[in-house]
Amino acid sequence: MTEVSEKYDLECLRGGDTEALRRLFDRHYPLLLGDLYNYLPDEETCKDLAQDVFVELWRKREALDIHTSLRAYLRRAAVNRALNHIKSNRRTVLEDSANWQDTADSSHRDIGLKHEQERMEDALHRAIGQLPEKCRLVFSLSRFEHMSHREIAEQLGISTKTIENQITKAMHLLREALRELRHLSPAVIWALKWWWIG
Amino acid sequence: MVVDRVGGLAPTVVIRPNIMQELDIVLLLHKRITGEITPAESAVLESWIGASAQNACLAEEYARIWAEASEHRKTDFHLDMDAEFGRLMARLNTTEQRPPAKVITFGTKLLRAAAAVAFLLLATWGYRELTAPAPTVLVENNLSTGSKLAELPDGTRVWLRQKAKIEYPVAFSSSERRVQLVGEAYFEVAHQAERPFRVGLVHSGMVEVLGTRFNVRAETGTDEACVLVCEGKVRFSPSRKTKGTVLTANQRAVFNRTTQNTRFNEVSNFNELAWQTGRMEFDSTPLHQVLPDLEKHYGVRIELQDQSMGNCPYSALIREQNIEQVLEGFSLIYGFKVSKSAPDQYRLAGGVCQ
Repeated sequence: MTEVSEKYDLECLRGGDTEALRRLFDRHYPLLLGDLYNYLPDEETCKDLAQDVFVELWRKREALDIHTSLRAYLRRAAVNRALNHIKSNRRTVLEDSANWQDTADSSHRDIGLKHEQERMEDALHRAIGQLPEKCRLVFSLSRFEHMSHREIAEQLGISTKTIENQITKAMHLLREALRELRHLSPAVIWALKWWWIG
Repeated sequence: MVVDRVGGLAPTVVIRPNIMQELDIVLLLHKRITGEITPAESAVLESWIGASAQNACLAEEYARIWAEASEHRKTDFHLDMDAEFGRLMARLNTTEQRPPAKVITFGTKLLRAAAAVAFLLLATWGYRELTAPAPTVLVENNLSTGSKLAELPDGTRVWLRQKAKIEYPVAFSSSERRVQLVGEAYFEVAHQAERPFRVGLVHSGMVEVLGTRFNVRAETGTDEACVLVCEGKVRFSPSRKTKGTVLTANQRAVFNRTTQNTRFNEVSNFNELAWQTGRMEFDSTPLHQVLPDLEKHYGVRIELQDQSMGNCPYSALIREQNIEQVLEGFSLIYGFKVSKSAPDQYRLAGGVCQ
Protein backbone atom coordinates (compact mmCIF):
# COMPACT_ATOMS: atom_id res chain seq x y z
CA MET A 1 0.00 0.00 0.00
CA THR A 2 1.50 3.28 -1.02
CA GLU A 3 1.63 6.33 1.13
CA VAL A 4 -0.27 8.34 -1.45
CA SER A 5 -3.37 6.18 -1.46
CA GLU A 6 -3.32 6.11 2.31
CA LYS A 7 -3.24 9.90 2.41
CA TYR A 8 -6.19 9.88 0.05
CA ASP A 9 -8.09 7.47 2.28
CA LEU A 10 -7.39 9.65 5.27
CA GLU A 11 -8.70 12.69 3.43
CA CYS A 12 -11.87 10.81 2.57
CA LEU A 13 -12.12 9.65 6.15
CA ARG A 14 -12.04 13.24 7.36
CA GLY A 15 -15.01 13.90 5.10
CA GLY A 16 -16.93 11.05 6.74
CA ASP A 17 -16.50 8.47 3.99
CA THR A 18 -17.20 5.02 5.43
CA GLU A 19 -15.80 3.28 2.36
CA ALA A 20 -12.44 4.85 3.12
CA LEU A 21 -12.87 3.67 6.68
CA ARG A 22 -13.44 0.15 5.38
CA ARG A 23 -10.25 0.27 3.30
CA LEU A 24 -8.23 1.46 6.28
CA PHE A 25 -9.92 -1.11 8.49
CA ASP A 26 -9.09 -3.98 6.13
CA ARG A 27 -5.47 -2.93 5.98
CA HIS A 28 -4.81 -2.08 9.60
CA TYR A 29 -7.18 -4.14 11.74
CA PRO A 30 -5.35 -7.46 11.30
CA LEU A 31 -2.03 -5.71 11.92
CA LEU A 32 -3.37 -4.18 15.12
CA LEU A 33 -4.51 -7.59 16.31
CA GLY A 34 -0.95 -8.82 15.82
CA ASP A 35 0.42 -5.86 17.78
CA LEU A 36 -2.05 -6.35 20.60
CA TYR A 37 -1.67 -10.10 20.82
CA ASN A 38 1.98 -9.63 21.67
CA TYR A 39 0.93 -7.88 24.85
CA LEU A 40 -2.39 -9.51 25.57
CA PRO A 41 -2.56 -13.08 24.36
CA ASP A 42 -6.34 -13.22 24.27
CA GLU A 43 -7.97 -12.94 20.87
CA GLU A 44 -11.33 -11.58 22.01
CA THR A 45 -9.80 -8.85 24.14
CA CYS A 46 -7.50 -7.91 21.28
CA LYS A 47 -10.48 -7.56 18.96
CA ASP A 48 -12.32 -5.40 21.47
CA LEU A 49 -9.35 -3.10 21.85
CA ALA A 50 -8.64 -2.90 18.11
CA GLN A 51 -12.30 -2.00 17.59
CA ASP A 52 -11.93 0.73 20.20
CA VAL A 53 -8.99 2.15 18.26
CA PHE A 54 -11.11 2.44 15.13
CA VAL A 55 -14.03 3.98 17.01
CA GLU A 56 -11.58 6.57 18.29
CA LEU A 57 -10.13 7.12 14.80
CA TRP A 58 -13.59 7.75 13.44
CA ARG A 59 -14.60 9.97 16.31
CA LYS A 60 -11.49 12.12 15.93
CA ARG A 61 -11.39 12.01 12.15
CA GLU A 62 -11.92 15.71 11.60
CA ALA A 63 -9.23 16.78 14.03
CA LEU A 64 -6.81 14.01 13.10
CA ASP A 65 -3.23 15.21 13.28
CA ILE A 66 -0.85 12.41 12.40
CA HIS A 67 2.84 13.24 12.29
CA THR A 68 4.09 9.72 11.71
CA SER A 69 2.49 7.11 9.50
CA LEU A 70 -1.07 6.02 10.14
CA ARG A 71 0.29 2.58 10.92
CA ALA A 72 2.53 3.94 13.67
CA TYR A 73 -0.27 6.12 14.99
CA LEU A 74 -2.79 3.28 15.21
CA ARG A 75 -0.24 0.93 16.66
CA ARG A 76 0.63 3.35 19.42
CA ALA A 77 -3.03 3.91 20.16
CA ALA A 78 -3.59 0.15 20.34
CA VAL A 79 -0.61 -0.49 22.57
CA ASN A 80 -1.71 2.29 24.92
CA ARG A 81 -5.10 0.66 25.18
CA ALA A 82 -3.50 -2.70 25.85
CA LEU A 83 -1.43 -1.17 28.63
CA ASN A 84 -4.46 0.48 30.20
CA HIS A 85 -6.24 -2.82 30.03
CA ILE A 86 -3.35 -4.64 31.67
CA LYS A 87 -3.08 -1.98 34.31
CA SER A 88 -6.74 -2.17 35.22
CA ASN A 89 -6.81 -5.97 35.19
CA ARG A 90 -3.55 -6.17 37.03
CA ARG A 91 -4.37 -9.44 38.74
CA THR A 92 -3.99 -11.28 35.46
CA VAL A 93 -0.49 -10.53 34.29
CA LEU A 94 1.48 -8.34 36.55
CA GLU A 95 1.09 -10.10 39.81
CA ASP A 96 1.90 -13.52 38.52
CA SER A 97 5.13 -13.94 40.34
CA ALA A 98 7.11 -11.91 42.79
CA ASN A 99 10.32 -13.82 42.41
CA TRP A 100 11.59 -13.84 38.90
CA GLN A 101 13.66 -16.92 39.27
CA ASP A 102 10.47 -18.87 39.88
CA THR A 103 9.24 -18.19 36.40
CA ALA A 104 12.48 -19.11 34.76
CA ASP A 105 11.30 -22.62 34.12
CA SER A 106 13.00 -24.90 31.71
CA SER A 107 10.50 -24.37 28.92
CA HIS A 108 12.68 -21.90 27.09
CA ARG A 109 15.63 -24.20 27.17
CA ASP A 110 14.47 -26.85 24.77
CA ILE A 111 14.88 -24.35 21.98
CA GLY A 112 18.07 -24.74 20.04
CA LEU A 113 19.18 -28.26 20.71
CA LYS A 114 16.76 -29.74 18.22
CA HIS A 115 17.42 -27.08 15.64
CA GLU A 116 21.12 -26.60 15.61
CA GLN A 117 21.22 -25.30 12.10
CA GLU A 118 18.47 -22.82 12.69
CA ARG A 119 19.11 -19.20 11.99
CA MET A 120 19.89 -17.11 15.01
CA GLU A 121 17.13 -14.66 14.22
CA ASP A 122 14.54 -17.38 14.20
CA ALA A 123 15.80 -18.80 17.43
CA LEU A 124 15.79 -15.40 19.02
CA HIS A 125 12.31 -14.80 17.75
CA ARG A 126 11.11 -18.05 19.24
CA ALA A 127 12.94 -17.38 22.47
CA ILE A 128 11.10 -14.07 22.81
CA GLY A 129 7.85 -15.89 22.30
CA GLN A 130 8.75 -18.24 25.13
CA LEU A 131 9.74 -15.63 27.67
CA PRO A 132 7.54 -15.57 30.77
CA GLU A 133 4.55 -13.35 30.05
CA LYS A 134 5.41 -10.38 32.25
CA CYS A 135 8.98 -10.48 31.08
CA ARG A 136 8.03 -10.49 27.40
CA LEU A 137 5.58 -7.68 27.96
CA VAL A 138 8.19 -5.40 29.46
CA PHE A 139 10.90 -6.40 27.02
CA SER A 140 8.61 -5.79 24.04
CA LEU A 141 7.57 -2.37 25.28
CA SER A 142 11.17 -1.36 25.57
CA ARG A 143 12.40 -2.95 22.35
CA PHE A 144 9.50 -2.50 19.96
CA GLU A 145 7.60 0.46 21.36
CA HIS A 146 10.81 2.28 22.28
CA MET A 147 9.43 3.21 25.65
CA SER A 148 11.78 4.24 28.44
CA HIS A 149 11.91 2.32 31.71
CA ARG A 150 10.07 5.11 33.42
CA GLU A 151 7.36 5.31 30.76
CA ILE A 152 6.73 1.59 31.04
CA ALA A 153 6.60 1.83 34.81
CA GLU A 154 4.10 4.68 34.64
CA GLN A 155 1.94 2.99 32.04
CA LEU A 156 1.74 -0.24 34.00
CA GLY A 157 1.62 1.38 37.41
CA ILE A 158 4.55 -0.59 38.76
CA SER A 159 7.98 0.47 39.96
CA THR A 160 10.88 1.30 37.69
CA LYS A 161 12.94 -1.22 39.66
CA THR A 162 10.55 -4.01 38.65
CA ILE A 163 10.77 -2.93 35.04
CA GLU A 164 14.54 -2.98 35.14
CA ASN A 165 14.54 -6.43 36.72
CA GLN A 166 12.22 -7.74 34.05
CA ILE A 167 14.24 -6.32 31.18
CA THR A 168 17.47 -7.64 32.62
CA LYS A 169 15.86 -11.00 33.10
CA ALA A 170 14.58 -11.02 29.53
CA MET A 171 17.97 -10.16 28.07
CA HIS A 172 19.59 -12.81 30.20
CA LEU A 173 17.09 -15.50 29.27
CA LEU A 174 17.43 -14.67 25.58
CA ARG A 175 21.17 -15.00 25.76
CA GLU A 176 20.80 -18.30 27.57
CA ALA A 177 18.49 -19.56 24.87
CA LEU A 178 20.98 -18.59 22.16
CA ARG A 179 23.93 -20.07 23.93
CA GLU A 180 22.24 -23.41 24.03
CA LEU A 181 21.57 -23.11 20.37
CA ARG A 182 25.25 -23.58 19.77
CA HIS A 183 27.10 -26.83 19.97
CA LEU A 184 26.97 -27.42 23.67
CA SER A 185 28.09 -30.65 25.19
CA PRO A 186 25.75 -32.20 27.77
CA ALA A 187 28.32 -31.41 30.43
CA VAL A 188 28.14 -27.73 29.64
CA ILE A 189 24.36 -27.77 29.66
CA TRP A 190 24.45 -29.45 33.00
CA ALA A 191 26.88 -26.81 34.25
CA LEU A 192 24.63 -24.04 32.95
CA LYS A 193 21.59 -25.45 34.66
CA TRP A 194 23.56 -25.86 37.82
CA TRP A 195 24.70 -22.27 37.55
CA TRP A 196 21.20 -21.07 36.88
CA ILE A 197 19.69 -22.80 39.84
CA GLY A 198 22.65 -22.05 42.09
CA MET B 1 23.16 -15.04 9.16
CA VAL B 2 23.70 -18.45 10.61
CA VAL B 3 24.39 -19.70 14.04
CA ASP B 4 28.11 -19.71 13.55
CA ARG B 5 28.09 -15.98 13.42
CA VAL B 6 27.67 -15.73 17.13
CA GLY B 7 29.91 -18.70 17.61
CA GLY B 8 32.93 -16.54 17.10
CA LEU B 9 32.01 -14.17 19.85
CA ALA B 10 32.31 -16.20 22.98
CA PRO B 11 33.17 -19.76 22.14
CA THR B 12 33.59 -20.99 25.67
CA VAL B 13 31.06 -20.99 28.43
CA VAL B 14 32.36 -19.30 31.51
CA ILE B 15 30.70 -20.07 34.77
CA ARG B 16 30.63 -16.78 36.57
CA PRO B 17 30.62 -16.79 40.34
CA ASN B 18 28.15 -13.98 40.76
CA ILE B 19 25.05 -13.89 38.65
CA MET B 20 23.82 -10.65 40.22
CA GLN B 21 26.94 -8.86 39.05
CA GLU B 22 26.26 -9.88 35.48
CA LEU B 23 22.64 -8.79 35.73
CA ASP B 24 23.72 -5.35 36.88
CA ILE B 25 25.91 -5.11 33.82
CA VAL B 26 23.06 -6.25 31.58
CA LEU B 27 20.94 -3.46 32.97
CA LEU B 28 23.64 -0.88 32.25
CA LEU B 29 24.08 -2.26 28.74
CA HIS B 30 20.40 -1.94 28.19
CA LYS B 31 20.33 1.59 29.50
CA ARG B 32 23.16 2.49 27.17
CA ILE B 33 21.29 1.09 24.19
CA THR B 34 18.11 3.00 25.02
CA GLY B 35 19.98 6.16 25.97
CA GLU B 36 18.80 6.09 29.58
CA ILE B 37 22.26 5.68 31.06
CA THR B 38 23.65 8.38 33.35
CA PRO B 39 27.25 9.62 32.93
CA ALA B 40 28.26 7.91 36.20
CA GLU B 41 26.74 4.60 35.11
CA SER B 42 28.36 4.96 31.74
CA ALA B 43 31.78 5.32 33.36
CA VAL B 44 31.23 2.13 35.38
CA LEU B 45 30.14 0.26 32.28
CA GLU B 46 33.03 1.43 30.12
CA SER B 47 35.58 0.45 32.71
CA TRP B 48 33.95 -2.96 33.06
CA ILE B 49 34.00 -3.49 29.29
CA GLY B 50 37.63 -2.38 29.12
CA ALA B 51 38.65 -4.75 31.89
CA SER B 52 38.78 -7.89 29.71
CA ALA B 53 38.20 -9.15 26.22
CA GLN B 54 35.57 -11.49 27.59
CA ASN B 55 33.63 -8.60 29.03
CA ALA B 56 33.77 -6.81 25.70
CA CYS B 57 32.45 -9.94 23.97
CA LEU B 58 29.60 -10.26 26.40
CA ALA B 59 28.66 -6.62 25.87
CA GLU B 60 28.68 -7.13 22.14
CA GLU B 61 26.62 -10.28 22.43
CA TYR B 62 23.90 -8.46 24.33
CA ALA B 63 23.95 -5.57 21.87
CA ARG B 64 23.43 -8.07 19.07
CA ILE B 65 20.56 -9.78 20.83
CA TRP B 66 18.89 -6.41 21.15
CA ALA B 67 19.56 -5.46 17.55
CA GLU B 68 18.31 -8.71 16.09
CA ALA B 69 15.29 -9.24 18.29
CA SER B 70 12.18 -9.25 16.17
CA GLU B 71 8.68 -8.94 17.36
CA HIS B 72 6.80 -12.09 18.17
CA ARG B 73 3.57 -11.58 16.26
CA LYS B 74 0.59 -13.78 15.80
CA THR B 75 -0.83 -13.45 12.32
CA ASP B 76 -3.16 -16.42 11.96
CA PHE B 77 -6.29 -14.86 13.35
CA HIS B 78 -9.49 -16.30 11.99
CA LEU B 79 -11.14 -13.14 10.86
CA ASP B 80 -14.41 -12.53 9.15
CA MET B 81 -13.65 -9.00 8.03
CA ASP B 82 -17.23 -8.28 7.03
CA ALA B 83 -18.45 -9.26 10.47
CA GLU B 84 -15.67 -7.35 12.19
CA PHE B 85 -16.39 -4.23 10.18
CA GLY B 86 -20.11 -4.67 10.80
CA ARG B 87 -19.43 -4.67 14.49
CA LEU B 88 -17.46 -1.46 14.16
CA MET B 89 -20.21 0.23 12.17
CA ALA B 90 -22.81 -0.81 14.73
CA ARG B 91 -20.76 0.85 17.42
CA LEU B 92 -20.21 3.99 15.36
CA ASN B 93 -23.93 4.28 14.80
CA THR B 94 -24.62 4.22 18.50
CA THR B 95 -21.81 6.59 19.39
CA GLU B 96 -22.48 9.13 16.69
CA GLN B 97 -25.75 10.70 15.80
CA ARG B 98 -24.74 14.30 15.68
CA PRO B 99 -24.92 15.88 12.20
CA PRO B 100 -21.68 17.44 10.95
CA ALA B 101 -21.32 21.12 11.74
CA LYS B 102 -21.89 23.57 8.89
CA VAL B 103 -20.06 26.82 8.52
CA ILE B 104 -22.16 29.72 7.29
CA THR B 105 -20.70 33.13 6.42
CA PHE B 106 -22.53 36.37 5.91
CA GLY B 107 -21.69 39.60 4.20
CA THR B 108 -21.64 42.81 6.28
CA LYS B 109 -24.74 44.20 4.64
CA LEU B 110 -26.69 41.26 5.83
CA LEU B 111 -25.68 41.75 9.43
CA ARG B 112 -29.15 42.53 10.70
CA ALA B 113 -30.70 39.67 8.85
CA ALA B 114 -27.86 37.51 10.01
CA ALA B 115 -28.51 38.39 13.61
CA ALA B 116 -32.12 37.34 13.23
CA VAL B 117 -31.16 34.14 11.45
CA ALA B 118 -28.49 33.47 14.03
CA PHE B 119 -31.05 33.79 16.77
CA LEU B 120 -33.31 31.36 14.98
CA LEU B 121 -30.44 28.96 14.35
CA LEU B 122 -29.37 29.19 17.94
CA ALA B 123 -32.87 28.57 19.13
CA THR B 124 -33.27 25.55 16.87
CA TRP B 125 -29.84 24.26 17.79
CA GLY B 126 -30.63 24.66 21.47
CA TYR B 127 -33.88 22.84 21.00
CA ARG B 128 -32.27 20.01 19.09
CA GLU B 129 -29.44 19.81 21.59
CA LEU B 130 -32.00 19.36 24.33
CA THR B 131 -34.19 16.88 22.58
CA ALA B 132 -31.83 14.88 20.35
CA PRO B 133 -30.37 11.81 22.02
CA ALA B 134 -26.79 12.51 23.07
CA PRO B 135 -24.19 10.23 21.45
CA THR B 136 -23.60 7.26 23.68
CA VAL B 137 -21.20 4.39 24.15
CA LEU B 138 -22.39 0.84 24.72
CA VAL B 139 -20.12 -1.62 26.48
CA GLU B 140 -21.15 -5.23 26.79
CA ASN B 141 -19.41 -8.15 28.45
CA ASN B 142 -19.54 -10.99 25.91
CA LEU B 143 -16.68 -12.89 27.49
CA SER B 144 -17.46 -16.43 28.53
CA THR B 145 -15.61 -15.98 31.81
CA GLY B 146 -14.46 -13.05 33.84
CA SER B 147 -15.66 -9.53 34.26
CA LYS B 148 -15.10 -6.64 31.91
CA LEU B 149 -14.07 -3.22 33.03
CA ALA B 150 -15.61 -0.10 31.53
CA GLU B 151 -14.08 3.24 32.36
CA LEU B 152 -16.51 6.11 32.04
CA PRO B 153 -15.62 9.66 30.97
CA ASP B 154 -15.71 10.90 34.58
CA GLY B 155 -13.26 8.26 35.81
CA THR B 156 -15.92 5.99 37.27
CA ARG B 157 -15.07 2.32 36.90
CA VAL B 158 -17.69 -0.31 36.20
CA TRP B 159 -17.07 -4.04 36.23
CA LEU B 160 -19.63 -5.83 34.11
CA ARG B 161 -20.52 -9.39 34.89
CA GLN B 162 -21.02 -11.79 31.99
CA LYS B 163 -23.84 -10.72 29.63
CA ALA B 164 -24.19 -7.36 31.37
CA LYS B 165 -24.17 -4.16 29.34
CA ILE B 166 -23.97 -0.50 30.14
CA GLU B 167 -24.74 2.51 28.02
CA TYR B 168 -23.40 5.94 28.83
CA PRO B 169 -23.01 9.25 26.98
CA VAL B 170 -19.70 10.10 25.33
CA ALA B 171 -19.68 13.13 27.62
CA PHE B 172 -21.84 13.46 30.71
CA SER B 173 -24.07 16.49 31.01
CA SER B 174 -23.19 19.18 33.51
CA SER B 175 -26.09 18.40 35.83
CA GLU B 176 -25.95 14.63 36.18
CA ARG B 177 -24.08 11.50 35.17
CA ARG B 178 -26.62 9.06 33.89
CA VAL B 179 -26.00 5.52 32.67
CA GLN B 180 -28.28 2.67 31.72
CA LEU B 181 -27.59 -0.86 32.94
CA VAL B 182 -28.81 -4.30 31.94
CA GLY B 183 -27.48 -7.18 34.00
CA GLU B 184 -25.14 -7.13 36.94
CA ALA B 185 -22.33 -4.66 37.54
CA TYR B 186 -20.10 -3.42 40.30
CA PHE B 187 -19.51 0.33 40.44
CA GLU B 188 -16.73 2.45 41.83
CA VAL B 189 -18.05 5.92 41.30
CA ALA B 190 -15.76 8.92 41.04
CA HIS B 191 -16.96 11.38 43.65
CA GLN B 192 -18.50 14.57 42.27
CA ALA B 193 -20.91 16.13 44.73
CA GLU B 194 -22.33 18.59 42.20
CA ARG B 195 -23.08 15.94 39.57
CA PRO B 196 -25.01 12.97 40.93
CA PHE B 197 -24.37 9.60 39.33
CA ARG B 198 -27.56 7.78 38.33
CA VAL B 199 -27.97 4.22 37.14
CA GLY B 200 -31.14 3.54 35.20
CA LEU B 201 -32.26 -0.08 35.50
CA VAL B 202 -33.84 -2.37 32.96
CA HIS B 203 -37.68 -2.20 33.08
CA SER B 204 -37.68 0.80 35.37
CA GLY B 205 -36.17 2.16 38.50
CA MET B 206 -33.00 3.94 39.31
CA VAL B 207 -30.08 4.03 41.69
CA GLU B 208 -28.73 7.42 42.58
CA VAL B 209 -25.26 7.47 43.96
CA LEU B 210 -24.41 9.56 46.93
CA GLY B 211 -21.22 7.66 47.72
CA THR B 212 -18.82 5.28 46.13
CA ARG B 213 -18.93 1.52 45.76
CA PHE B 214 -21.89 -0.70 45.14
CA ASN B 215 -23.25 -3.58 43.11
CA VAL B 216 -26.40 -3.59 41.00
CA ARG B 217 -28.20 -6.54 39.49
CA ALA B 218 -31.11 -5.86 37.16
CA GLU B 219 -31.49 -8.62 34.61
CA THR B 220 -34.01 -8.92 31.82
CA GLY B 221 -34.97 -12.49 32.68
CA THR B 222 -36.00 -11.91 36.28
CA ASP B 223 -38.51 -9.80 38.11
CA GLU B 224 -36.02 -8.69 40.71
CA ALA B 225 -33.59 -5.83 40.92
CA CYS B 226 -30.96 -6.01 43.61
CA VAL B 227 -28.65 -3.33 44.98
CA LEU B 228 -25.87 -3.98 47.48
CA VAL B 229 -23.76 -1.17 48.88
CA CYS B 230 -20.14 -1.79 49.90
CA GLU B 231 -19.14 1.70 50.80
CA GLY B 232 -20.88 5.05 50.95
CA LYS B 233 -24.56 5.71 50.25
CA VAL B 234 -26.95 5.24 47.37
CA ARG B 235 -30.61 6.04 46.87
CA PHE B 236 -32.57 3.18 45.33
CA SER B 237 -35.80 4.10 43.58
CA PRO B 238 -37.27 0.89 42.18
CA SER B 239 -40.06 2.60 40.25
CA ARG B 240 -40.95 6.07 39.08
CA LYS B 241 -43.67 6.43 41.67
CA THR B 242 -41.52 5.79 44.69
CA LYS B 243 -39.27 8.37 46.19
CA GLY B 244 -36.61 5.86 46.98
CA THR B 245 -34.72 4.64 49.98
CA VAL B 246 -31.21 5.47 51.05
CA LEU B 247 -28.97 2.43 51.50
CA THR B 248 -25.66 2.55 53.30
CA ALA B 249 -22.71 0.18 53.53
CA ASN B 250 -23.57 -3.51 53.99
CA GLN B 251 -27.23 -2.93 53.13
CA ARG B 252 -29.04 -4.74 50.39
CA ALA B 253 -32.37 -4.03 48.78
CA VAL B 254 -34.23 -6.43 46.51
CA PHE B 255 -37.17 -5.08 44.58
CA ASN B 256 -39.76 -7.45 43.12
CA ARG B 257 -41.54 -6.02 40.11
CA THR B 258 -44.55 -8.32 40.34
CA THR B 259 -45.35 -7.69 43.97
CA GLN B 260 -43.94 -4.12 43.89
CA ASN B 261 -42.34 -4.90 47.23
CA THR B 262 -38.82 -4.12 48.34
CA ARG B 263 -37.02 -6.31 50.88
CA PHE B 264 -34.15 -4.85 52.87
CA ASN B 265 -31.46 -6.65 54.76
CA GLU B 266 -27.95 -6.30 56.11
CA VAL B 267 -25.22 -8.50 54.71
CA SER B 268 -22.41 -9.85 56.84
CA ASN B 269 -20.07 -10.39 53.91
CA PHE B 270 -19.71 -9.52 50.25
CA ASN B 271 -19.44 -13.08 49.02
CA GLU B 272 -22.06 -12.50 46.36
CA LEU B 273 -19.59 -10.11 44.74
CA ALA B 274 -17.00 -12.87 44.34
CA TRP B 275 -17.46 -12.61 40.56
CA GLN B 276 -15.79 -9.18 40.78
CA THR B 277 -13.56 -9.44 43.84
CA GLY B 278 -12.47 -13.05 43.28
CA ARG B 279 -12.75 -13.70 47.02
CA MET B 280 -15.21 -15.14 49.51
CA GLU B 281 -14.93 -14.82 53.24
CA PHE B 282 -16.51 -16.93 55.94
CA ASP B 283 -16.16 -16.31 59.63
CA SER B 284 -17.66 -19.07 61.72
CA THR B 285 -20.50 -19.20 59.21
CA PRO B 286 -22.77 -22.27 59.48
CA LEU B 287 -22.35 -24.63 56.55
CA HIS B 288 -26.00 -24.31 55.55
CA GLN B 289 -25.23 -20.66 54.76
CA VAL B 290 -21.86 -21.35 53.21
CA LEU B 291 -23.06 -23.91 50.70
CA PRO B 292 -25.59 -21.67 48.88
CA ASP B 293 -22.87 -19.01 48.46
CA LEU B 294 -20.54 -21.59 46.98
CA GLU B 295 -23.28 -23.02 44.77
CA LYS B 296 -24.06 -19.63 43.39
CA HIS B 297 -20.49 -18.58 42.81
CA TYR B 298 -19.29 -21.78 41.21
CA GLY B 299 -22.56 -22.64 39.47
CA VAL B 300 -22.77 -26.10 41.08
CA ARG B 301 -25.10 -28.04 43.34
CA ILE B 302 -23.81 -29.31 46.67
CA GLU B 303 -25.83 -31.82 48.60
CA LEU B 304 -25.26 -32.30 52.30
CA GLN B 305 -26.23 -35.84 53.21
CA ASP B 306 -26.29 -35.33 56.96
CA GLN B 307 -28.41 -32.21 57.52
CA SER B 308 -27.21 -31.85 61.12
CA MET B 309 -23.78 -30.96 59.71
CA GLY B 310 -25.38 -27.77 58.40
CA ASN B 311 -24.81 -26.03 61.71
CA CYS B 312 -21.06 -26.61 61.73
CA PRO B 313 -19.15 -23.34 61.68
CA TYR B 314 -16.80 -22.70 58.76
CA SER B 315 -14.08 -20.06 58.60
CA ALA B 316 -12.02 -19.48 55.50
CA LEU B 317 -10.87 -16.99 52.92
CA ILE B 318 -11.34 -18.43 49.48
CA ARG B 319 -9.34 -16.83 46.72
CA GLU B 320 -8.88 -18.16 43.22
CA GLN B 321 -9.63 -21.72 44.19
CA ASN B 322 -11.82 -24.01 42.17
CA ILE B 323 -14.76 -25.79 43.76
CA GLU B 324 -12.95 -29.10 44.01
CA GLN B 325 -10.14 -27.51 45.99
CA VAL B 326 -12.67 -25.91 48.32
CA LEU B 327 -14.48 -29.22 48.86
CA GLU B 328 -11.19 -30.97 49.44
CA GLY B 329 -10.63 -28.45 52.22
CA PHE B 330 -14.04 -29.45 53.63
CA SER B 331 -13.17 -33.10 53.70
CA LEU B 332 -9.95 -32.28 55.55
CA ILE B 333 -11.77 -30.23 58.18
CA TYR B 334 -14.89 -32.28 58.70
CA GLY B 335 -13.93 -35.66 57.29
CA PHE B 336 -16.59 -35.53 54.56
CA LYS B 337 -16.55 -38.08 51.83
CA VAL B 338 -16.89 -36.00 48.67
CA SER B 339 -18.37 -37.57 45.58
CA LYS B 340 -19.42 -36.19 42.24
CA SER B 341 -22.89 -37.43 41.39
CA ALA B 342 -23.17 -35.55 38.09
CA PRO B 343 -21.19 -32.85 36.36
CA ASP B 344 -21.49 -29.77 38.58
CA GLN B 345 -23.13 -31.79 41.30
CA TYR B 346 -21.38 -32.81 44.49
CA ARG B 347 -22.40 -34.82 47.50
CA LEU B 348 -20.91 -34.52 50.97
CA ALA B 349 -21.40 -37.68 53.02
CA GLY B 350 -20.62 -38.39 56.67
CA GLY B 351 -18.49 -35.91 58.53
CA VAL B 352 -17.94 -34.86 62.11
CA CYS B 353 -18.50 -31.37 63.43
CA GLN B 354 -15.39 -29.97 65.05
